[in-house]
Amino acid sequence: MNQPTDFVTLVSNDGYEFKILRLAACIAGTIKKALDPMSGFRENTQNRVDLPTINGVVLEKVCEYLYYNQKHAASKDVSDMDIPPELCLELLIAADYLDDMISAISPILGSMPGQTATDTARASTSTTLNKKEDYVTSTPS
Amino acid sequence: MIAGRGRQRIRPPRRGLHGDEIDFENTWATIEAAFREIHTKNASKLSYEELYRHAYRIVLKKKGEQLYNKVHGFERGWLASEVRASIQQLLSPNLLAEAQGAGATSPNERRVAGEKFLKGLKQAWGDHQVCMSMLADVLMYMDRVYCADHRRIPIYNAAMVLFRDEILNSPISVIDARAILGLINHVILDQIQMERDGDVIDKQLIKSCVWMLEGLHEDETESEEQRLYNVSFEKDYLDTSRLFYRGESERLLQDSDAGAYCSHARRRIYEEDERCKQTLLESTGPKIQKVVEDELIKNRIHELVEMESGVRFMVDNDRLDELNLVYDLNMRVDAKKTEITRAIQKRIFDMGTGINNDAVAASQAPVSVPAADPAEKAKGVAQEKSLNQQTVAAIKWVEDVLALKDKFDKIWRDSFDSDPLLQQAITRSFGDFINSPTFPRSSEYISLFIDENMKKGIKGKTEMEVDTVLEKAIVLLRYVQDKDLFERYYKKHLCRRLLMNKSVSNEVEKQMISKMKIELGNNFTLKLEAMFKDMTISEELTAGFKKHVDGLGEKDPKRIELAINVLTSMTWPLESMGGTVAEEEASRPRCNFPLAVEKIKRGFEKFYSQKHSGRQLTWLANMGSADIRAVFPKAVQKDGSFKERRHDLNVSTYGMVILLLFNELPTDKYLTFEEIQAQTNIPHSDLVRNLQSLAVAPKTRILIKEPMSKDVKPTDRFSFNESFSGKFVKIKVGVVSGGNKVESDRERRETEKKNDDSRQFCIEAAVVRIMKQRKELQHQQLVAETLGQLNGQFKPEVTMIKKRIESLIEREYLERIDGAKVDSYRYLA
Repeated sequence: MNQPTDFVTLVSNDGYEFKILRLAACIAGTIKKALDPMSGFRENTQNRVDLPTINGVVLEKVCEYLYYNQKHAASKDVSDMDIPPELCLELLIAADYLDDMISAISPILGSMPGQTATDTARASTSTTLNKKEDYVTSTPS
Repeated sequence: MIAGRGRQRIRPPRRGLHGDEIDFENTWATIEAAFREIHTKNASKLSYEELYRHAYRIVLKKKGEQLYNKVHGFERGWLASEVRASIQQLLSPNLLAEAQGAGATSPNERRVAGEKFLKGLKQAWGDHQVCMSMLADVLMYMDRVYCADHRRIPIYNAAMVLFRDEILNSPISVIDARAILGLINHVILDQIQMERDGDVIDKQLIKSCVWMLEGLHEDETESEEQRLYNVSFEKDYLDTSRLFYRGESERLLQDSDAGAYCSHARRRIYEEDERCKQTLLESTGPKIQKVVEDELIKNRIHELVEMESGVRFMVDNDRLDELNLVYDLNMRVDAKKTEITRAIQKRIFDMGTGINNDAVAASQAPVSVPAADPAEKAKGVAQEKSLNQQTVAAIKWVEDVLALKDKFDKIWRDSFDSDPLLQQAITRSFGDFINSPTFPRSSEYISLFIDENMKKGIKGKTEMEVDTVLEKAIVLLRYVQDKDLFERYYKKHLCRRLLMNKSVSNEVEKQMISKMKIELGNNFTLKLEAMFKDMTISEELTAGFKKHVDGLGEKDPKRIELAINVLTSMTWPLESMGGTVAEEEASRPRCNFPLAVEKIKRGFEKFYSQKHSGRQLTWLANMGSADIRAVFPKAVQKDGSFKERRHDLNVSTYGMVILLLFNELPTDKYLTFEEIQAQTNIPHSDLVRNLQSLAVAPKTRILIKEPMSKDVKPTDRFSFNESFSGKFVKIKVGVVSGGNKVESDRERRETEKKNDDSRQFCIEAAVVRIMKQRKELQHQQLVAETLGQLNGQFKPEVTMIKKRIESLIEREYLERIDGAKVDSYRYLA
């Protein structure tokens, strides 16, 4: 077993590598589990998590959020992080995949009637996968 | 709307990222292969993200249910084939045979086999937990999305249930249908039993297995009560423990003494407590405690207390530690501590009754002496002796009771943690035997004890010591119910002390009074204080009279000095100063004093009536004393010298009167008893006593009696004993029965009768007080209130109250209310 390092590497599907604090990375459930020393998966031995479902732009935002979350975890009345609207759907899917980033994005999609942000994300993911439709057209606006 | 902002469009998720179609079977094959790797601990080759992504996709493709079922089936298969087999391998034939109760194996073999089994089980359980935790991590998305939406239990929990079903509830082997769970219980219990027998066992190992049982549940509700630990193991544990301790307590009660039993029980309780903390679960603590307490204490405490070496033995032998153990045990099962309280009370009562009986026996023993004496002449003296014996018995009684009290105080303090309940019980028991109807003398004995101390006991003691003695007396007094009887005796004894100047210290007397005042109230000591006041006034009077006489002029060398005590007749128990009332009343005024004395007596009467007009003085010659200087003619001394002898004789007033008769009598003449009586007019009994002390007592034989015998008969003749010789110049002629002694039976009956008489007045007064206030009252209530009012003084019998009420009705203080449902009375103003 190797020693757990302070920083871990997150790799996007288009090859961008993000070295971020292990503590911050572990805010995301999926990353945390992947790096869990108790389980001893390959990610743990390499301190590197490949994320083939997420592209560099989104992953950058994800990393930003992880730090943002870590920084403000203890404080109250934190203003929402600035999220570019054009990224929000992809971020939402990434959040669902990585577990526990939903709350950060949901305010932006909160205006969508009838569904919770998570449902929207999953529905849109499935739709994309199933019907190959252009998402924008099916988004209520 | 976001899209309405124009140029900013939400980018669509890129296609093809997740794979367009998904081949479930293939994906599952990948996952399954990975799971096998995980189960065989080869996880480091696997990419978590990859597995996660597979599961993620399956769930997204709405195939969560399939996935769930596959995983479930996979786990079931794994447990049933791989794990169960490895567990079954651990079961040695010995272990199985033993579990059936047919074991002839040694404890050590059993322990080793058991530990091996438990270790294997622990290992399997641990592995299962770790693997399932990894699987659950991989399947996190399924848990989060599929299980949450379809209300299925998370896969981890489902796998735990599988472990229960496939391992714990599985048969031991193909041919043996008993479940492994039962075996686990058995092995653990066996290990615990070994520990109880003094073996060392692997507590940590057992604890791990216990945790396993704690983590699994009997059914799907997963409630606290349904944990396998509670349902399966704990019940067995409590049952076997109950059986074990039942047997053990039986054996111990037969084999060892109570002290050992107690310390053993305490150790067991402690052990079980520790066991729950270290080996089992703490939640079992109270339950097993109850079992142990039930079996070792509650069901046995009675036997334990009653054992030959039980509480009685401990009390008798001052086994304070053991008593403390018994107390402790009793307290565990019974907040009221009934058993030990009962035993202690019984012991106090028995010991107290023993002291009572000893006192009675001691006071009666000498009475049997005259019976053995052939001559009857000894009877009188023997009676006196027996009185002395009784006094000694009385003081011994008090000291014994105090010793008993000290003993139980110590026990109470050291063994019973100063428990207030037990203190009450002890106090009650002391009260019980002190006020026992078969032993009516406690008041008298306590008063005598004080008397003895006032006269002799406190001599040469420091203030502190004196105070302790007084405090002791008060302690006893507290127990006495009939305080009025005590007051009567105390007055009598105090009276004697004061008049005969026997008190060592007036200060101490006063101290005692003030102590009683605190304890019993103002009322109680009122008359006692009046007695002291009389004494002070008398001293002043004596001094005043002396001055008065001095002032009369010419010094008369032969003048007699007079010291006088003027006593208020109501306050002083004069009748108790010897002789019976009837005799005294008849003869008191008629005692003839010699002229010289008579003169000074007149002088004082005159002096007194000048000071206080309208008061009548009655002379009580039977209570006084006199100092006489007597000159005996020359006689040959032991050392051969030949000279006159002078003695200062301290005699009673009567003795003085008698002796003065012989002043005028020629040496060779004599007086008969009848002549003496005629000339002096001294009451018969007093005369007999005084003559006895003057003529019979060997050391103070100033008169010669003919014929010489111990009894004084009317025909006896008395003459002056010229050849009298004494060692000292001052001689005290003690009058028989001069000191405070225990009363004879006759006297006591009288005292009691008098006491009853005065009680009647008290009761009447109380009844009238109550009725005056209430005007009308029912009988029951009246009796109750009367009892309440008199509580501090004595406890009257109800019949006595009834009689007093009758008497009051007769005298028209009260009347019955006609036609009332229950008996009621009305007060008549």
